Amino acid sequence: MVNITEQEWLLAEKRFEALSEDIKLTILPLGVFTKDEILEHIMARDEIGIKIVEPELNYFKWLKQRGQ
Amino acid sequence: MPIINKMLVIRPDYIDYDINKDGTLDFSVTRLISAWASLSLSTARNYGIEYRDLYKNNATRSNFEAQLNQFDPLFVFINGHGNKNLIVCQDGDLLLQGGLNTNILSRRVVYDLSCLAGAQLGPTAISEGCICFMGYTEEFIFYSSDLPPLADNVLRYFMDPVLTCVMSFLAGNSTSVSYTYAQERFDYWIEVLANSTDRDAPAHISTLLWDKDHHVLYGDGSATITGEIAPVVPIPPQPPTLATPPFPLKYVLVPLALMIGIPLLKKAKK
Repeated sequence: MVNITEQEWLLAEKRFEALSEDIKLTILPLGVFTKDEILEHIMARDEIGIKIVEPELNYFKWLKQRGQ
Repeated sequence: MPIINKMLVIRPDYIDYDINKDGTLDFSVTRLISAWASLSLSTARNYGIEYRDLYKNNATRSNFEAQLNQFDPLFVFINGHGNKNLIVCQDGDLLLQGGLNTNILSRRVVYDLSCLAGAQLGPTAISEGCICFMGYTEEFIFYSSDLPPLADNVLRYFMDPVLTCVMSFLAGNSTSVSYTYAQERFDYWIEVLANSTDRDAPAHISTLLWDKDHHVLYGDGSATITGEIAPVVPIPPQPPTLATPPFPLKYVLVPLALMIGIPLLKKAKK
């Protein structure tokens, strides 16, 4: 299980808050999530929240590598 | 021995999620995936690849096993939901389970668009004689909009690399070349989005990075649909605009032009 720091949770929360209202995220096989549901899972810090935030950690590394 | 130039596609299509908690809006992920997977059929036709398409209510385990036995295709394109050691078909019924019936993939090439099955089921299939297995070791994650699947440019970012891989293989490229093209397509869309002002672009990038990182190829990277060694033409991805077809035709046309055109040019020069 990936370890997500509190700072990373908060950063992810801010990032998802900034997304369009009508986004639909599919995580096979866990389900399809609206923006509100994404934020609920992130705030709950639950297993689905972890699956939502995990790719964000890769993204942070990728940004770092690109020097942004 | 499975027969070259043959493909079996399985495309379940059923209501698999309720997007609203009250269940008022039914949502079918399998429908989105199946719509995109259908593009492989016209490509197969174009390249003279014989195929069978198990769609919707025909996407059952019994039909799948019967087609593998009777039609006996070299290439199997699986779409559906999965887990580490299993893949399900129409209505969530079991299609494949590692060690139970994965031996039916023996001596075949498989592209599996389902979650996680690349983690365990894929390696099991390889250990049982599957020539090559391409799939995903983690959840396949994507964004989509409310548009019809083939008109959905958001969904396109995620499905285009998958179809690139399958179509490249159908066009005669080897599994490793096709896999590389798919990875390049992930990179291409990541770069497009990195230069975009779309507010959702960062989320799309993080998801594409995830899918790319967990896209795997096991087994023989030199396998081809024709059973012959294909000319490997290293072509950097220069994908089309959003208005053009999802598969970069140059992946097909350039190798063909090289195979056909160069001898013609040589003749003409003489």
